[in-house]
Amino acid sequence: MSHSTEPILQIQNLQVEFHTDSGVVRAVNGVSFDLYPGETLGIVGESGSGKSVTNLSLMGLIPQPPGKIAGGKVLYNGQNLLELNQRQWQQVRGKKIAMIFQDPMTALNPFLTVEEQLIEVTMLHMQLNRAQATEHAIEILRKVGIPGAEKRIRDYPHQFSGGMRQRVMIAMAISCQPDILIADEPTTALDVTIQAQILELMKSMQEEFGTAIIFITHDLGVVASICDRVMVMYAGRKVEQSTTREIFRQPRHPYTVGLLNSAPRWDQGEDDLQAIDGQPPDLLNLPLGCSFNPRCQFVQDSCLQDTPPLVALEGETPHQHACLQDITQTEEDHSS
Amino acid sequence: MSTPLLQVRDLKVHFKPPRRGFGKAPAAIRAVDGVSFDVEAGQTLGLVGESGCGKSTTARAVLNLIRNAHREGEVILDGTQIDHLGEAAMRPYRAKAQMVFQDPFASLNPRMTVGKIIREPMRNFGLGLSDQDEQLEVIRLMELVGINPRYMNRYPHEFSGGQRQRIGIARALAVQPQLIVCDEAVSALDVSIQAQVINLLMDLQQKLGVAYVFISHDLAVVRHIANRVGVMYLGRIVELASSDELYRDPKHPYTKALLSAAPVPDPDQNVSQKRVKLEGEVPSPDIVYPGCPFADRCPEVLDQCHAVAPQLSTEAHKVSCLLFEDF
Repeated sequence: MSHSTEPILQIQNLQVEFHTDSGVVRAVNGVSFDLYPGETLGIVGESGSGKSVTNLSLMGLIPQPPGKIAGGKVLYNGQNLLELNQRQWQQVRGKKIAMIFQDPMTALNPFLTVEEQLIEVTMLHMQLNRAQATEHAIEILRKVGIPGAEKRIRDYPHQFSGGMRQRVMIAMAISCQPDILIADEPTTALDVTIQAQILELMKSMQEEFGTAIIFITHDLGVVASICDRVMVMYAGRKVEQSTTREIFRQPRHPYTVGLLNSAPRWDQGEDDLQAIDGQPPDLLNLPLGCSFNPRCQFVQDSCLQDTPPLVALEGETPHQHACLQDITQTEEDHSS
Repeated sequence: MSTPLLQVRDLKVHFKPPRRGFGKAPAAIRAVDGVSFDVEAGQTLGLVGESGCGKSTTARAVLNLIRNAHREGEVILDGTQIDHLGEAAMRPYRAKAQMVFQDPFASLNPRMTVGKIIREPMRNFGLGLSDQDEQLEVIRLMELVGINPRYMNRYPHEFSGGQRQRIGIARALAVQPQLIVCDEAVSALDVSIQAQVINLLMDLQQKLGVAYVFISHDLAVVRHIANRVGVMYLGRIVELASSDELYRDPKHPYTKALLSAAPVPDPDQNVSQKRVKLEGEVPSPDIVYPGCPFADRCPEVLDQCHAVAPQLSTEAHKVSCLLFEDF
C-alpha cells in the first residue's frame, strides 16, 4: 500500500523507562512508526513487549514516576505531544486521540450513569450544554448499536453486558470524532460472536469518520481480519513492520515466524504446533546482542554480539525488519 | 469398545439465587441442563462455548466439586457412580481425577515452594512414599513437565506464567490420575507459550495415557488438542462429534455461527470467509424454554423450533437441532 497523504501521527525514537527497585526497565527502547489517516495499524507482541506502554505514551498516560519518557518525539500536526503540559494534554486527549481499553468494567466509572460519562467529554471538548450533550450521547449510543438508547443512557455500567459495555466505551471514544483511536486489546475479554460484532462496528465507524486506528492485540486472527499494516514488537523494540498480507506471507523476523507457527487454527487439522522455545524476555536482564537470540532457531554468532538495526526493504510493499539473518531462504526450504 | 473412563448422563446443575426481601423467589439458574458425554481412557474431550454456556460448571460437576446446588444425573468415573459421594467417600476418586486451572497466578500457593506444591497431593492422598522417594518423584515430575528440578526450592512468583502452568500440571500428575480436567488451562498464556503447554499436554497423554476434559472458549486450541468436541449453548450440548468432523462439517447453526465468527490468522482466508451473523447475545439461563433455546437467535429457525425441544441425536456425529430430526 502506498500512502499519498502525510502521516497524521509520527513517533520517532520513543524511549520509555520505568525505575523499579531492581533496576531500570526499558519498556520501550527506541520505537519509531508513522500512522496514516483512515488506516488500521496493528501492534502485536507478547506481554511485556512494550505495546501498551507505547500507546499509553501517545495519550500522555505514563505515570511519572516511576515511569519516565527518556527520549523521542510524538508528532501530531507538527506538534511534539511529549512536550505538552497537563492543560494542553486535555485539548488533545479524548478530542483528537481517544482510547478504548481492554476491560470496560474497570475503564468505566461504576458510580456514574453512562449519560454522565458520555456527556462529560462533549461538554468539555465541544462546548455543548447539558441538553445538547445528552442528545448527542443518545445519537452516538444508537450508532454503536445499543437498543433503546434513550432509556439505557440512564443505566449504570454494571447493568450492561460485556459486549454492550464495550459499545459504550467505543461510543465515548468516538463522541468527539477523534482523528486517532487507540484500541488496546478491545475484544480480548469478549466471546467470539460478540468480538465479531465489535470488530464490525469499529470498521464501520472508521469508514464513516475516517479515523486512524492503532489496534493492539495478541490475536493474529484479529490482526488478519482488521489491520492494514502490522508492527511486531519484542522486548521494547520494533522488530518487524509491513502490510498485513506481507507479514503473513513473507515474515522476515524469526519471532514473527514463531508467532505465526505457534498460533493454532480452527480451519486446519493436525499440524504440530511449533512453539517458540524458552521464556519471554526478562527486561531487567536482556541478553547481549539481539534480545530474541536465546529463543531463536536461526541464531548465529553475530546475533550474540550486535543489536540488529531496523532495516527497511524498499520495494512495492515497504518492509522493515530487525534481524541479522536472511531467514526467507530457509523458510522456503521448510515449506517445500 | 471397553467401558468409557468417564460417563456423564443427563447432568443438570441448577443454582438457586438467594431470595431478596419478601418478593417471589427468583428462578433457578439452569447452568447445566441435561448434558451427556463419554470420555474414553487416554482420549481428550473438548468442550467449547461462550461465557455462561455452562462449560466450567460441567467441569466442576464432573469432579463433584459443586455443593449448594440442585443436581441431577449421573457421573460415573471408572465404573463407579461418584456424583452422590460425600467428601470422605470421594477421596479415593480425587486421586483418579485431577484439575488444572485457568489462572496460574491464583492456583499455586504463593507461600509454598514448588517442590512442596508438587509433593502435597502425594501426602494428601497417602501414596505412602518415603521422604526420599517423594523427593525423587518430585524431581521426575518436574523433569516430565520441563522445569529444571534445581528450582525445586523456589516460590511460584519466581516463575513466568507458562512455567507456573507447567507446575500446576506436575501437581495434577503427582497422584497419577487417569483423568485431568483442564479448565481454560492455556487461555491466560501468550500464544508462543500457549503452544508449548499444548504440546506438553499432548506429549504427556502419549506417555502416560491420561485422559483430558479440555474446556476452552478458543475453538482453534480445542481443535488441536481434542479427539472429540462438544459445543455447548445455554447449559446444553448442541453438537458433539470427532474433532475433524465437527470443524470440517459443522451441522448445528450455532456451531456454524461460532466458527464463522472466529477469525483465522490468514488475511486471504478472512476475505473469502462467509460470516454467519448472530444478532443479540446469549439470553439469561433462568428461563425454561419449551423449544430450542437457540431459536430466538438462529438464522435457520423453523416455526416449530419455538415449541418443540430438539434432542441430541444418537449417531457418531450428534446434533441437537430440528433441522436434522425426522418428523
